Amino acid sequence: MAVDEVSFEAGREVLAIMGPNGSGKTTTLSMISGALRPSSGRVVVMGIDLWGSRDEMVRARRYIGYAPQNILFRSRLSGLENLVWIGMMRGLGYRDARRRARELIERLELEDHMDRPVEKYSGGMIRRLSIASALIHDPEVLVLDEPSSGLDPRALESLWSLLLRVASGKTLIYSTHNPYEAERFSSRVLMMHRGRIVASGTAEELIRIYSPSPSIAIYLPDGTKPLVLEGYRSFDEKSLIAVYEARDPHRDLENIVAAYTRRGIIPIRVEIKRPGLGEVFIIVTGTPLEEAG
Amino acid sequence: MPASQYLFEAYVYIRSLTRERQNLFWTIAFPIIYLVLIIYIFGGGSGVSFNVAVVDRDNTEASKALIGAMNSSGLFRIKLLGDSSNIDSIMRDGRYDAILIIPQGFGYNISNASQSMVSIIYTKGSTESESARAAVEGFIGSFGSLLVERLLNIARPYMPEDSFRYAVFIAKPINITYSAVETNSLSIPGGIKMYYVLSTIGFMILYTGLFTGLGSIVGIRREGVIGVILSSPIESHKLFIANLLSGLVSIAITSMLIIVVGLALGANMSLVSMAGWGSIALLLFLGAIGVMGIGYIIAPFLRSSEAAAAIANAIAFPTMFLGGIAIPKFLLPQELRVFADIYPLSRIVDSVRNIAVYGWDPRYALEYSLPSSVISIAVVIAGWILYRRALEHAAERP
Repeated sequence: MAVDEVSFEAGREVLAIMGPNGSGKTTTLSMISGALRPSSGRVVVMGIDLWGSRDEMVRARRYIGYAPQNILFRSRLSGLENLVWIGMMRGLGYRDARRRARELIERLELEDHMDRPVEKYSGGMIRRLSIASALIHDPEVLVLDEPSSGLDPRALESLWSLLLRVASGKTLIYSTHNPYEAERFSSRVLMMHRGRIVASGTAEELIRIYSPSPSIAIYLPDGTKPLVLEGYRSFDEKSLIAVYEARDPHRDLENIVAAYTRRGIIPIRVEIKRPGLGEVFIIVTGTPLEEAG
Repeated sequence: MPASQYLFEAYVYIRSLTRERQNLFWTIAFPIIYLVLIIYIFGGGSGVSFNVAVVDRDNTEASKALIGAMNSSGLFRIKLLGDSSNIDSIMRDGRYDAILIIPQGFGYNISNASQSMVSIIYTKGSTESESARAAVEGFIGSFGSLLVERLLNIARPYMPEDSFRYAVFIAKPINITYSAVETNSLSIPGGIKMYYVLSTIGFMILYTGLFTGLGSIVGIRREGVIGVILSSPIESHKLFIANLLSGLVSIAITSMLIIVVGLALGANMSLVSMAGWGSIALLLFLGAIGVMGIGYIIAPFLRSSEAAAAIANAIAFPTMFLGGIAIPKFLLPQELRVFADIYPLSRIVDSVRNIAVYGWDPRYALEYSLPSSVISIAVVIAGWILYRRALEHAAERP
């Protein structure tokens, strides 16, 4: 079973479903967007049962705009044509679909590229086009599966500044495995682990309730390995960052740096990080987010 | 809800037509190449053997010997017809290059050393039919000479050598009468080309229909497409019709193109009335949905677009020949015609060709195609049921 006993409500807000790969985020989003029938339970959208009668199924889906993680656009068609295609499929007449597509292309700052084939779009442009495709029929509920996947920090900020603008006044439910994104851009966060919701609330509430310790990040030079000292949490082999839990941040930092120096390793940079949702996840599940998948 | 939900697939098809090289090739280049080649190869001449129907009213050893000799000559494909009063209309149908009538008394006359008669009915002005007439005439002449020689050999010991040679020289035991039929058939200049224009349309229906049907579920199941479709407020019947329409649009574009190129190459369409065109359009539509239906029935069992393409080729390639679609059924060996007799598209394409080339009454053509039309509708309904089930199944698998 991919998910179990998942139950939540969402109003006009930005709701993040945060969890590692395989935690059940995509399955949950597929079920609430109408792409996957739950084996038990209900999904109610604007008071209509999404998996009810044939008529209810159609009516409820009019309120939903869903962008899967890897939406497969027609690569030889332009961004504008792809949006018209999806708009027509979602019930807009050709002219309305075209008008709405142009409007969204402008709002998502793609107007310089709207007539270019999608195969020439960058990753960031594809993400924005996905969001436009979910918004094409002006739905009340926007469901986005990992909308920022693969984007660098600058592109992430830019995407969210657009997203918050176009989704204003709507329900936005999205998935992420990035605690920073969940904390920074969401009004509420659901944490998922092994198919269940393990914590939910605003980022402030979660940090306050679980009061995680700050962490110390040690940026190591090339060719070095992390020292497994007291409080050692994780090591990112790509960015060579070793993370330690800090009970007394300044004293622990001194001790950790001294340990490295004794072994002839001079860290490039050190950082005391205030506790965030990543740390909350560790307390709730006992596993760092990046290792939990 | 606007009609756009039925048309969104056709919109994508039209938009991508000029940009997808594969679409461009299959929709435009391939049918033109095929049509030009087939008209070039077959459009101007006759076949190597003739379809000759024989009405044997004599039914004696002599008449059977003549028919047997014609059959084993390899020059004719003989079909025995029952005695019928509408021989001329059978000839007008264009199914035979000539009809040979062996009258009652043929064998008796030969046995009693009287001149026998046979009649040949052929189509006036048709290269094929006139060639067939000449071939039958020549064959009967040779058959008669052999017969005379054999009979005279019996009397030879009692005849002077000069008298024997003279008798052989003047003898003509079988006299032939001719009857020409005016027909709306291949004899019209451009008739055979029109025949191949419609065969090419039939062949494109076969390919495009199968590719559309077989690729439908695979196309939907692709990651990133299924989610968008299932979360859209669109019922499965609209999705199905949208897919069907995109195939029909493709077929319509190709068909119009084939007709234009056919006209440019000299195909004659002057025989087709407005009602005829209406019937042709209806029959082609029924044929197309039937072929797509076959695709929809198989589609749920396919896992990849490569498998869909392979199956489409595996079905289309042999059936375009065996079904009498790309080439006339009568050119097939007798034992291979069984498939064409039962394949729904064969009858439909046959009817369409007969309306346009032989001037069949559209009502008769529709009647002739009725079993195939019913099968086509049944097949597409079965395809729709399986398509809907495949969609429901897709919504139940994570």
